[in-house]
Amino acid sequence: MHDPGGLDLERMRAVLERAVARACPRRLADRREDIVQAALLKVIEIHRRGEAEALSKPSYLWQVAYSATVDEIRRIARRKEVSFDAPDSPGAAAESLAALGDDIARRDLGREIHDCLERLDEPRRLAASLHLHGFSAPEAAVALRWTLSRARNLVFRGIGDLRRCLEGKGIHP
Amino acid sequence: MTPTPTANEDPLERLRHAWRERSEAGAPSHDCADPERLWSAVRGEAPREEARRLLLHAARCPACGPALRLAREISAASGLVAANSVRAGIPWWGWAAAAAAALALLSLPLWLPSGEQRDAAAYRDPGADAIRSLHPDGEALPRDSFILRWTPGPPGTRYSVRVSQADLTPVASTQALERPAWHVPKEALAGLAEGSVLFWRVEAHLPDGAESASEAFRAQLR
Repeated sequence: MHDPGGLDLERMRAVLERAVARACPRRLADRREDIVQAALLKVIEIHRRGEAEALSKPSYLWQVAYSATVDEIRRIARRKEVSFDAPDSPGAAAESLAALGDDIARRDLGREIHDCLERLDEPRRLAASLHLHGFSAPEAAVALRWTLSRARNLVFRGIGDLRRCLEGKGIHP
Repeated sequence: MTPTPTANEDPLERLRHAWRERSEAGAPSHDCADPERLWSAVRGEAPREEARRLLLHAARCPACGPALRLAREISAASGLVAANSVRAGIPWWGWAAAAAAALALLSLPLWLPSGEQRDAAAYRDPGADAIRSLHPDGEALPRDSFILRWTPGPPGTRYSVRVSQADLTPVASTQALERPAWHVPKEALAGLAEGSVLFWRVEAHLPDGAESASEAFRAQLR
Protein backbone atom coordinates (compact mmCIF):
# COMPACT_ATOMS: atom_id res chain seq x y z
CA MET A 1 0.00 0.00 0.00
CA HIS A 2 1.76 3.11 -1.26
CA ASP A 3 -0.33 6.24 -1.10
CA PRO A 4 0.04 8.42 -4.22
CA GLY A 5 0.38 11.43 -1.93
CA GLY A 6 3.78 10.19 -0.78
CA LEU A 7 2.74 8.43 2.40
CA ASP A 8 4.32 4.98 2.47
CA LEU A 9 1.85 3.28 4.79
CA GLU A 10 3.26 -0.19 4.26
CA ARG A 11 6.65 0.89 5.53
CA MET A 12 5.16 2.86 8.38
CA ARG A 13 3.05 -0.11 9.44
CA ALA A 14 6.10 -2.39 9.38
CA VAL A 15 8.09 0.04 11.51
CA LEU A 16 5.27 0.56 14.00
CA GLU A 17 4.52 -3.14 14.33
CA ARG A 18 8.14 -3.88 15.00
CA ALA A 19 8.51 -0.99 17.45
CA VAL A 20 5.37 -1.86 19.39
CA ALA A 21 6.36 -5.53 19.59
CA ARG A 22 9.75 -4.59 21.00
CA ALA A 23 8.77 -1.70 23.23
CA CYS A 24 5.59 -2.85 24.93
CA PRO A 25 5.27 -5.18 27.89
CA ARG A 26 4.07 -8.69 27.08
CA ARG A 27 0.76 -7.96 28.77
CA LEU A 28 -0.13 -5.75 25.82
CA ALA A 29 0.74 -8.42 23.25
CA ASP A 30 -2.86 -9.08 22.28
CA ARG A 31 -3.49 -5.36 21.70
CA ARG A 32 -0.58 -4.68 19.37
CA GLU A 33 -2.60 -4.75 16.15
CA ASP A 34 -5.22 -2.43 17.63
CA ILE A 35 -2.53 0.01 18.76
CA VAL A 36 -0.83 0.13 15.36
CA GLN A 37 -4.12 0.39 13.50
CA ALA A 38 -5.29 3.31 15.63
CA ALA A 39 -1.99 5.13 15.09
CA LEU A 40 -2.10 4.61 11.32
CA LEU A 41 -5.66 5.90 11.11
CA LYS A 42 -4.56 9.11 12.80
CA VAL A 43 -1.63 9.49 10.40
CA ILE A 44 -3.91 8.95 7.41
CA GLU A 45 -6.39 11.48 8.74
CA ILE A 46 -3.73 14.17 9.15
CA HIS A 47 -2.14 13.39 5.81
CA ARG A 48 -5.45 13.55 3.95
CA ARG A 49 -6.32 16.84 5.61
CA GLY A 50 -3.16 18.05 3.95
CA GLU A 51 -1.79 19.86 6.97
CA ALA A 52 1.08 22.01 5.82
CA GLU A 53 3.58 20.72 8.34
CA ALA A 54 2.83 17.11 7.40
CA LEU A 55 3.44 17.79 3.74
CA SER A 56 6.56 19.90 4.14
CA LYS A 57 8.32 17.88 6.82
CA PRO A 58 8.29 14.07 6.44
CA SER A 59 9.56 13.58 10.00
CA TYR A 60 6.36 15.18 11.26
CA LEU A 61 4.33 12.17 10.14
CA TRP A 62 6.64 9.88 12.07
CA GLN A 63 6.14 12.05 15.12
CA VAL A 64 2.37 11.82 14.63
CA ALA A 65 2.61 8.05 14.30
CA TYR A 66 4.69 7.89 17.47
CA SER A 67 2.38 10.15 19.48
CA ALA A 68 -0.72 8.29 18.32
CA THR A 69 0.86 4.97 19.32
CA VAL A 70 1.75 6.24 22.79
CA ASP A 71 -1.72 7.77 23.21
CA GLU A 72 -3.29 4.45 22.35
CA ILE A 73 -1.09 2.56 24.82
CA ARG A 74 -1.90 5.05 27.56
CA ARG A 75 -5.61 4.90 26.70
CA ILE A 76 -5.54 1.13 27.16
CA ALA A 77 -3.66 1.55 30.42
CA ARG A 78 -6.23 4.01 31.74
CA ARG A 79 -9.12 1.73 30.91
CA LYS A 80 -7.31 -1.18 32.55
CA GLU A 81 -8.48 -3.43 29.76
CA VAL A 82 -5.47 -5.69 29.95
CA SER A 83 -6.21 -9.16 31.29
CA PHE A 84 -4.79 -12.64 31.14
CA ASP A 85 -6.57 -15.01 28.77
CA ALA A 86 -8.08 -18.06 30.41
CA PRO A 87 -6.23 -21.22 29.38
CA ASP A 88 -8.39 -23.71 27.48
CA SER A 89 -6.63 -26.98 28.33
CA PRO A 90 -4.62 -28.53 31.20
CA GLY A 91 -1.45 -28.25 29.13
CA ALA A 92 -2.16 -24.62 28.39
CA ALA A 93 -2.90 -24.06 32.06
CA ALA A 94 0.50 -25.46 33.02
CA GLU A 95 2.21 -23.29 30.41
CA SER A 96 0.24 -20.29 31.57
CA LEU A 97 1.26 -20.93 35.17
CA ALA A 98 4.90 -21.25 34.16
CA ALA A 99 4.66 -18.00 32.19
CA LEU A 100 3.07 -16.30 35.18
CA GLY A 101 5.92 -17.56 37.37
CA ASP A 102 8.39 -16.11 34.89
CA ASP A 103 6.48 -12.81 34.90
CA ILE A 104 6.66 -12.63 38.68
CA ALA A 105 10.34 -13.52 38.65
CA ARG A 106 11.06 -10.82 36.08
CA ARG A 107 9.16 -8.23 38.07
CA ASP A 108 11.18 -9.22 41.17
CA LEU A 109 14.37 -8.84 39.16
CA GLY A 110 13.06 -5.56 37.77
CA ARG A 111 12.58 -4.22 41.29
CA GLU A 112 16.13 -5.21 42.25
CA ILE A 113 17.46 -3.52 39.12
CA HIS A 114 15.54 -0.37 40.03
CA ASP A 115 16.92 -0.45 43.57
CA CYS A 116 20.48 -0.80 42.27
CA LEU A 117 20.08 1.96 39.69
CA GLU A 118 18.84 4.35 42.36
CA ARG A 119 22.18 3.93 44.15
CA LEU A 120 24.21 5.16 41.17
CA ASP A 121 25.15 8.77 40.66
CA GLU A 122 22.95 10.52 38.14
CA PRO A 123 25.01 10.32 34.92
CA ARG A 124 25.73 6.60 35.37
CA ARG A 125 22.13 5.91 36.38
CA LEU A 126 20.89 7.71 33.29
CA ALA A 127 23.33 5.93 30.99
CA ALA A 128 22.69 2.47 32.45
CA SER A 129 18.91 2.79 32.56
CA LEU A 130 18.77 4.08 28.98
CA HIS A 131 20.99 1.16 27.95
CA LEU A 132 18.51 -1.21 29.59
CA HIS A 133 15.79 0.43 27.52
CA GLY A 134 17.78 -0.45 24.41
CA PHE A 135 19.68 2.79 23.78
CA SER A 136 23.13 2.38 22.31
CA ALA A 137 25.89 4.73 23.44
CA PRO A 138 25.58 6.82 20.23
CA GLU A 139 21.82 7.14 20.78
CA ALA A 140 22.31 8.25 24.38
CA ALA A 141 24.93 10.73 23.15
CA VAL A 142 22.46 12.23 20.68
CA ALA A 143 19.67 12.58 23.23
CA LEU A 144 21.77 14.01 26.06
CA ARG A 145 24.30 16.01 24.02
CA TRP A 146 27.13 13.97 25.42
CA THR A 147 30.25 13.23 23.45
CA LEU A 148 30.35 9.67 22.21
CA SER A 149 33.32 8.82 24.44
CA ARG A 150 31.50 10.17 27.52
CA ALA A 151 28.38 8.17 26.66
CA ARG A 152 30.40 4.99 26.15
CA ASN A 153 32.28 5.52 29.39
CA LEU A 154 29.11 6.12 31.41
CA VAL A 155 27.33 3.10 29.92
CA PHE A 156 30.35 0.91 30.62
CA ARG A 157 30.70 2.08 34.21
CA GLY A 158 26.97 2.24 34.91
CA ILE A 159 26.36 -1.32 33.72
CA GLY A 160 29.40 -2.48 35.69
CA ASP A 161 28.08 -0.83 38.87
CA LEU A 162 24.67 -2.39 38.27
CA ARG A 163 26.18 -5.84 37.84
CA ARG A 164 28.18 -5.54 41.04
CA CYS A 165 25.15 -4.31 42.96
CA LEU A 166 23.04 -7.24 41.73
CA GLU A 167 25.80 -9.68 42.62
CA GLY A 168 25.82 -8.14 46.10
CA LYS A 169 22.17 -9.13 46.32
CA GLY A 170 22.99 -12.68 45.28
CA ILE A 171 21.72 -12.17 41.73
CA HIS A 172 24.04 -13.37 38.99
CA PRO A 173 22.43 -12.39 35.68
CA MET B 1 13.32 -15.37 42.73
CA THR B 2 15.00 -14.70 39.40
CA PRO B 3 13.99 -16.14 36.02
CA THR B 4 15.98 -19.20 35.08
CA PRO B 5 18.43 -18.35 32.32
CA THR B 6 18.54 -20.58 29.28
CA ALA B 7 21.88 -21.77 27.93
CA ASN B 8 22.08 -19.23 25.11
CA GLU B 9 20.41 -16.27 26.76
CA ASP B 10 22.40 -13.07 26.71
CA PRO B 11 22.63 -11.80 30.31
CA LEU B 12 22.08 -8.21 29.21
CA GLU B 13 18.98 -9.23 27.28
CA ARG B 14 17.68 -10.99 30.39
CA LEU B 15 18.07 -7.78 32.41
CA ARG B 16 16.45 -5.75 29.64
CA HIS B 17 13.53 -8.13 29.53
CA ALA B 18 13.04 -7.89 33.29
CA TRP B 19 13.32 -4.10 33.10
CA ARG B 20 10.74 -3.95 30.30
CA GLU B 21 8.29 -6.32 31.99
CA ARG B 22 8.57 -4.28 35.16
CA SER B 23 6.46 -1.68 33.35
CA GLU B 24 2.94 -1.86 34.67
CA ALA B 25 -0.02 -1.06 32.47
CA GLY B 26 -0.77 1.86 34.75
CA ALA B 27 -1.83 5.31 33.68
CA PRO B 28 0.90 7.97 33.47
CA SER B 29 1.22 10.44 36.33
CA HIS B 30 1.32 14.23 36.10
CA ASP B 31 5.12 13.95 36.00
CA CYS B 32 5.02 12.01 32.74
CA ALA B 33 5.87 14.08 29.67
CA ASP B 34 3.72 14.51 26.61
CA PRO B 35 4.84 12.10 23.87
CA GLU B 36 5.90 15.00 21.66
CA ARG B 37 8.41 16.26 24.24
CA LEU B 38 9.82 12.80 24.82
CA TRP B 39 10.16 12.35 21.07
CA SER B 40 12.11 15.59 20.81
CA ALA B 41 14.36 14.60 23.70
CA VAL B 42 15.22 11.21 22.22
CA ARG B 43 16.00 12.81 18.85
CA GLY B 44 18.34 15.35 20.39
CA GLU B 45 16.06 18.28 19.59
CA ALA B 46 15.17 19.32 23.14
CA PRO B 47 17.32 21.73 25.15
CA ARG B 48 20.00 19.84 27.04
CA GLU B 49 18.60 20.45 30.53
CA GLU B 50 15.07 19.58 29.50
CA ALA B 51 16.26 16.39 27.82
CA ARG B 52 18.18 15.40 30.95
CA ARG B 53 15.13 15.96 33.15
CA LEU B 54 12.70 14.18 30.82
CA LEU B 55 14.93 11.18 30.25
CA LEU B 56 15.85 10.89 33.91
CA HIS B 57 12.17 10.54 34.72
CA ALA B 58 11.15 8.40 31.75
CA ALA B 59 14.04 5.97 32.12
CA ARG B 60 12.83 4.82 35.54
CA CYS B 61 9.07 5.47 35.32
CA PRO B 62 7.20 2.23 34.54
CA ALA B 63 4.39 4.11 32.80
CA CYS B 64 6.83 6.04 30.58
CA GLY B 65 9.01 3.05 29.67
CA PRO B 66 7.04 1.96 26.59
CA ALA B 67 6.88 5.57 25.31
CA LEU B 68 10.64 5.96 25.74
CA ARG B 69 11.44 2.71 23.96
CA LEU B 70 8.97 3.49 21.18
CA ALA B 71 10.61 6.86 20.56
CA ARG B 72 13.97 5.17 20.19
CA GLU B 73 12.68 2.32 18.03
CA ILE B 74 10.69 4.52 15.66
CA SER B 75 13.40 7.18 15.38
CA ALA B 76 15.99 4.56 14.55
CA ALA B 77 13.82 2.58 12.13
CA SER B 78 12.63 5.66 10.27
CA GLY B 79 16.20 6.86 9.82
CA LEU B 80 15.65 10.08 11.74
CA VAL B 81 18.35 9.69 14.38
CA ALA B 82 21.26 9.46 11.99
CA ALA B 83 20.65 12.99 10.75
CA ASN B 84 20.66 14.29 14.30
CA SER B 85 23.97 12.65 15.17
CA VAL B 86 25.75 15.60 13.60
CA ARG B 87 24.27 17.84 16.26
CA ALA B 88 25.22 15.55 19.12
CA GLY B 89 28.59 17.09 19.76
CA ILE B 90 30.44 13.96 18.72
CA PRO B 91 34.06 15.02 18.25
CA TRP B 92 35.70 14.87 14.87
CA TRP B 93 37.97 12.02 15.91
CA GLY B 94 34.87 9.92 16.56
CA TRP B 95 33.91 10.25 12.94
CA ALA B 96 37.49 9.67 11.85
CA ALA B 97 37.56 6.43 13.84
CA ALA B 98 34.28 5.34 12.28
CA ALA B 99 35.63 6.08 8.82
CA ALA B 100 38.79 4.10 9.56
CA ALA B 101 36.71 1.17 10.79
CA ALA B 102 34.61 1.30 7.61
CA LEU B 103 37.74 1.26 5.47
CA ALA B 104 39.13 -1.66 7.45
CA LEU B 105 35.90 -3.56 6.94
CA LEU B 106 36.00 -3.02 3.19
CA SER B 107 39.41 -4.65 3.08
CA LEU B 108 38.28 -7.79 4.93
CA PRO B 109 38.41 -11.07 3.02
CA LEU B 110 34.69 -11.70 3.45
CA TRP B 111 33.14 -15.01 2.62
CA LEU B 112 29.60 -14.49 1.47
CA PRO B 113 27.83 -17.77 0.77
CA SER B 114 25.86 -17.28 -2.43
CA GLY B 115 23.27 -19.84 -1.46
CA GLU B 116 22.32 -17.91 1.63
CA GLN B 117 20.61 -15.01 -0.14
CA ARG B 118 17.00 -14.98 0.93
CA ASP B 119 14.08 -12.68 0.36
CA ALA B 120 13.12 -9.89 2.71
CA ALA B 121 9.90 -11.49 3.85
CA ALA B 122 11.67 -14.53 5.25
CA TYR B 123 14.38 -12.37 6.79
CA ARG B 124 12.02 -10.27 8.86
CA ASP B 125 10.00 -13.25 10.09
CA PRO B 126 11.27 -13.82 13.63
CA GLY B 127 9.88 -17.36 13.56
CA ALA B 128 12.24 -18.24 10.75
CA ASP B 129 15.42 -17.58 12.79
CA ALA B 130 16.34 -15.37 9.86
CA ILE B 131 19.67 -14.12 11.20
CA ARG B 132 21.83 -17.13 11.86
CA SER B 133 25.42 -17.27 12.91
CA LEU B 134 27.74 -18.88 10.38
CA HIS B 135 29.89 -20.17 13.23
CA PRO B 136 29.33 -23.30 15.31
CA ASP B 137 27.98 -22.39 18.76
CA GLY B 138 30.83 -21.31 21.01
CA GLU B 139 33.47 -21.50 18.30
CA ALA B 140 36.91 -20.30 19.39
CA LEU B 141 38.05 -17.37 17.26
CA PRO B 142 41.55 -15.93 17.21
CA ARG B 143 42.07 -12.58 18.88
CA ASP B 144 43.78 -11.09 15.81
CA SER B 145 41.00 -12.00 13.42
CA PHE B 146 37.90 -12.16 15.53
CA ILE B 147 35.52 -11.94 12.59
CA LEU B 148 31.84 -12.57 13.18
CA ARG B 149 29.74 -13.68 10.21
CA TRP B 150 26.03 -14.23 9.81
CA THR B 151 23.46 -14.91 7.12
CA PRO B 152 22.84 -11.89 4.87
CA GLY B 153 19.58 -10.01 4.47
CA PRO B 154 18.20 -8.56 1.24
CA PRO B 155 20.33 -6.02 -0.67
CA GLY B 156 20.53 -2.70 1.12
CA THR B 157 20.27 -4.20 4.60
CA ARG B 158 22.39 -2.53 7.29
CA TYR B 159 23.55 -4.33 10.41
CA SER B 160 24.33 -3.38 14.00
CA VAL B 161 26.34 -5.73 16.18
CA ARG B 162 26.91 -5.72 19.91
CA VAL B 163 29.45 -7.90 21.71
CA SER B 164 29.48 -8.30 25.48
CA GLN B 165 30.99 -10.51 28.12
CA ALA B 166 28.96 -13.06 30.04
CA ASP B 167 28.86 -10.64 32.99
CA LEU B 168 27.22 -7.93 30.81
CA THR B 169 30.32 -5.82 30.35
CA PRO B 170 30.11 -4.27 26.87
CA VAL B 171 33.11 -5.23 24.72
CA ALA B 172 32.43 -3.58 21.39
CA SER B 173 29.62 -2.49 19.13
CA THR B 174 29.15 -1.12 15.68
CA GLN B 175 26.38 0.18 13.47
CA ALA B 176 25.45 0.62 9.82
CA LEU B 177 27.53 -2.27 8.51
CA GLU B 178 26.84 -2.95 4.86
CA ARG B 179 28.04 -6.53 4.92
CA PRO B 180 27.03 -9.44 7.15
CA ALA B 181 30.36 -9.64 8.91
CA TRP B 182 32.33 -7.66 11.42
CA HIS B 183 35.97 -7.77 12.39
CA VAL B 184 35.93 -6.95 16.11
CA PRO B 185 38.87 -4.58 16.72
CA LYS B 186 41.79 -6.27 18.43
CA GLU B 187 42.01 -3.35 20.86
CA ALA B 188 38.52 -4.09 22.16
CA LEU B 189 39.62 -7.61 23.07
CA ALA B 190 42.92 -6.58 24.63
CA GLY B 191 41.89 -6.92 28.27
CA LEU B 192 40.16 -10.27 27.90
CA ALA B 193 41.70 -13.57 28.92
CA GLU B 194 42.11 -16.44 26.51
CA GLY B 195 39.06 -18.67 26.71
CA SER B 196 36.69 -15.81 27.56
CA VAL B 197 33.15 -16.48 26.39
CA LEU B 198 31.58 -13.58 24.51
CA PHE B 199 27.97 -13.05 23.47
CA TRP B 200 27.17 -11.30 20.21
CA ARG B 201 23.91 -10.19 18.72
CA VAL B 202 22.97 -8.74 15.34
CA GLU B 203 20.19 -6.32 14.44
CA ALA B 204 19.33 -5.99 10.77
CA HIS B 205 17.74 -2.82 9.42
CA LEU B 206 15.96 -3.73 6.22
CA PRO B 207 15.59 -1.34 3.28
CA ASP B 208 11.83 -1.02 3.87
CA GLY B 209 12.39 0.17 7.44
CA ALA B 210 11.62 -3.13 9.14
CA GLU B 211 14.07 -4.56 11.64
CA SER B 212 15.05 -8.04 12.62
CA ALA B 213 17.14 -9.09 15.58
CA SER B 214 19.03 -12.31 16.08
CA GLU B 215 19.26 -14.41 19.18
CA ALA B 216 22.47 -14.08 21.17
CA PHE B 217 25.32 -16.16 19.78
CA ARG B 218 28.37 -17.33 21.69
CA ALA B 219 31.99 -17.27 20.71
CA GLN B 220 35.17 -17.96 22.60
CA LEU B 221 38.34 -15.95 22.50
CA ARG B 222 41.38 -17.94 21.43
